[in-house]
Amino acid sequence: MLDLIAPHYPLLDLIFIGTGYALSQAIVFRAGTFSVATSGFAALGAYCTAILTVKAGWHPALGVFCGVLLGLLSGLLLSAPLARLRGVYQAIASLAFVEILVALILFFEDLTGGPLGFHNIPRVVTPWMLFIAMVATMALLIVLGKGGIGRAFDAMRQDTPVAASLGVNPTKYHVLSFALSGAIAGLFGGLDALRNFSLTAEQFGFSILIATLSAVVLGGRRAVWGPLVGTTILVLLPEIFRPLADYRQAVYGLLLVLVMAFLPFGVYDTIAMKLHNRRLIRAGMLKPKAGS
Amino acid sequence: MASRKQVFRTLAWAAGMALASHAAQAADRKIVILQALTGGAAFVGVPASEGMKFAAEELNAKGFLGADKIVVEVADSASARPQAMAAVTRYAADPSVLFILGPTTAPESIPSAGVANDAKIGMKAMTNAVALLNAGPWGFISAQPPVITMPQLGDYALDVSKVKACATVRFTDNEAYVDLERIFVEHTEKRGMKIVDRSGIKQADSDFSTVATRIVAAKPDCVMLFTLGPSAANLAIQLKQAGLPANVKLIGQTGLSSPQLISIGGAAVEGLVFNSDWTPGGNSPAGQAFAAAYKAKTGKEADNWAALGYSYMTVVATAIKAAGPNPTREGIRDALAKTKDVPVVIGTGKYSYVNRIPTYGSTFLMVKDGKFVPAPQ
Amino acid sequence: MIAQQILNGLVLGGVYALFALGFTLIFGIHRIMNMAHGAVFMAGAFVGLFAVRVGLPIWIALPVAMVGAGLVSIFVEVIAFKPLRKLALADAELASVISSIGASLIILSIGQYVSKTETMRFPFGTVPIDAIVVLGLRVTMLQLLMLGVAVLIVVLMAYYLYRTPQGRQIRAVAGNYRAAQLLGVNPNAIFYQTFFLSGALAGAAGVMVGLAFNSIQFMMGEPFLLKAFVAIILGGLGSVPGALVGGLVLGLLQSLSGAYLQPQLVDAMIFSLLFVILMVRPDGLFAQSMPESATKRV
Repeated sequence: MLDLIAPHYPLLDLIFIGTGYALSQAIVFRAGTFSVATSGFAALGAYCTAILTVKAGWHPALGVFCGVLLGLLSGLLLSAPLARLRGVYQAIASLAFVEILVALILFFEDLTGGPLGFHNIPRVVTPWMLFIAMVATMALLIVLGKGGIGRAFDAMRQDTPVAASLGVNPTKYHVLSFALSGAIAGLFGGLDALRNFSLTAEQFGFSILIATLSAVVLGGRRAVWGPLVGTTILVLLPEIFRPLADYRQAVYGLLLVLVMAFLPFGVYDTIAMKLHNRRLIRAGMLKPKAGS
Repeated sequence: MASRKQVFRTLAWAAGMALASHAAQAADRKIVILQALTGGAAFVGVPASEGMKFAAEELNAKGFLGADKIVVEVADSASARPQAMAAVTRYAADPSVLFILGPTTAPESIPSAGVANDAKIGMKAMTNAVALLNAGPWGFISAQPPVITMPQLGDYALDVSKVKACATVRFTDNEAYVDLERIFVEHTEKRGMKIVDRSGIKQADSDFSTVATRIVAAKPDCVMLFTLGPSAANLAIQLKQAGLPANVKLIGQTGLSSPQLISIGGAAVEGLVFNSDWTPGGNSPAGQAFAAAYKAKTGKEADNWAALGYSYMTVVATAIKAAGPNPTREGIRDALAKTKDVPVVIGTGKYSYVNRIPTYGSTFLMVKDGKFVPAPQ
Repeated sequence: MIAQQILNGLVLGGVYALFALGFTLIFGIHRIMNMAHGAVFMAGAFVGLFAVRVGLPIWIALPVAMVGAGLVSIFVEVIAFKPLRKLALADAELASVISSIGASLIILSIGQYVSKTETMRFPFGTVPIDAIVVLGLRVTMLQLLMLGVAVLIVVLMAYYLYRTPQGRQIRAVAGNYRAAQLLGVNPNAIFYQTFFLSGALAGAAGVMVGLAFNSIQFMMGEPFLLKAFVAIILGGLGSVPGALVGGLVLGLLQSLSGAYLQPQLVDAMIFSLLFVILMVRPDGLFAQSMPESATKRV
């Protein structure tokens, strides 16, 4: 049975790690912040883990733990400047943060290997570990989401002044969302490093930022399942369309356009919403829309 | 005493068995060509895989492996690390695959070597990144690393071009070129060359007005180009526009070996010299034969990458042959590591691994009248 | 050297200004980021190149390229932004970023197919390459041409926006969509116009970059888009004079830092500057009347 799956481990790796990054991204969206800093936090976690494990000889688990801490700290630090901005400005500021980080990783060659990359990291992490990390993160977010924190995030996202007037402290939850986002990205960054043998600065730059963003928007940014659905679609697509090799990029682009046009809240969220509404209509609690 | 019928039947049976086992011995030796057929490195991967396929066909046609045949399967890494690693995993799990020729670039190949060592399948990547070898004995590099080629280029610059004060330009976002420039500078500074300026550009850049002005102000007598062809051509144009005197020599490395150097550079790249793995048209009888046959078969001129691919496939086939009548993955790996003086069409004609570092010599080319010709020695 | 680098910076800045102007036009009017702007820029360069290759002189090829890029821009509007107009702004923001990225990928794919990933250049001699020396500065004909064309296009654009009825309508819709609709302005026509103009500007920038820097390649738009954010934020999102000043400043910055700093630090410096601007004066130098950037905090 394992022999059947083994050739596909790389795809599973991509789905598990990709979902982790997408979850980190989704949290800040849920709390109403348009930040795309996840890949930066992941880079910090990954390089921290790699450097401590390979150069300082620490135990990998300790390395990952430090990666998580570094991610969490950088999330906390970034939350302050981003709190003063709104909407597209937050996005641009977080993009600047990621680009600065990538440039600095390239610059400090002695520490990170610079453009030559950081290589020969032992492959300590197995697909099972990635799976467990992903499931644990999703479980944590589901629990938080159903509780007070989730309600506070929803309130903040929809209307911050009203939320504040209802006693929700926007600053506290804003900082919390960033801390969580940073910690989760740091975790999966560290796991990524210990699974894929080497790191380069570019792998945490603009393209992964876009890929993570797409995964969240495609899948849905409210429910915790959205990131998983979105990541799976994006990972499986190149495989399904392998015969179309040269046109893959166009197909990918077409998919993004079509999903946004017809399922603008993301595949999972839109379907979940439709099913929910149908249930409410049947229970007589909601009048069906004219013409639907 | 056996009857005549029994003897006849036994003989027939024996003959039948002999024929059957002989036919069964004509086995398929499967090699996977894993190259970047799409994406940023396709300009290397596509011609390289063409060269490899061409080599396999030629070798089969002349019975290189006796009754056995090389069977190739071509796969696309899309110039992307995850795809390359996934492909290595997938093919390693297929017991009929003996060896993987590829991937193409260092960022794809180094982690893929980790996978290959995990899965215990031999892998010979196009890249020259020595870091790949640290992953274990199953990963091989194919092109000569800068520690071998850059001293040769440095000596050429000092002794033949007779330059004393160079400005260098390198891609800062491609580790291969960062390495080339660093080792060139190390070697030549020890020999007394003055490096008056070291600039960087990115692969996607095209505005070099700033770099050009900076270099002209530093008054070098040569400009060293550690980039790919199109960027170098563009730099040459903008250097001349910024007033670089005509007697300043332009020198480069293998990355410039592409028709676009001339099609984009035009008059600005006349006289440019660079070290190359392949002399267009071939610089030996074997090279010339390859160039002619390749052109006849594919309709295209063999370029640097096609020639490299052709040569690398020859090296792998030689290792398979040396690994005996029933080659195993281990056997091929060991035979490959012992490669010595395999005839190839690149460099000075003989390919060897010395401590798993490839050596095959370089030739120097010059741009003259819009064509690549051998440079003065 | 510094005076020469300043000249280099101004010429580059002129191109950035055209590019940024197109981007900020869309943002100012529709409040959306058009991530396909870089692809439109590339399309303009390609159309210009093919126009020259079939024999048109450059002074005809340039307007042809601008029209071509304008049409590509309308294509982007139709497939990426129009379907999302029915959503509330907050939801549309994110979805339209993704949607325009998708449109960009489709256009890039076509560019890749058409060019076979090769880097191309305008044929030799499309523009004269002589240089003159003025006050110790070396100025090429091409640089003069680029500055001239940039100024001309900007003046024409300003005239259109501020002096013609159509331009006034565009600015009315920018101010208040509903009010403009009530007054009989047809918003769809406005959308098509602004996207066309934005595309034309990007197309002009694309041709100039192709001419000046000898490199037309299907990925040429990406570095410009990222850097353009700096110019636009510096000048103020949605502000026309802001885009111009921001573009010029960015060009100068890139030139001077490239001349004097280590290459690896240039990017870090530019993006750090972006970050600092966002912290200190996010609305940019030419802030609009309604501050966009401040958070609505109690």
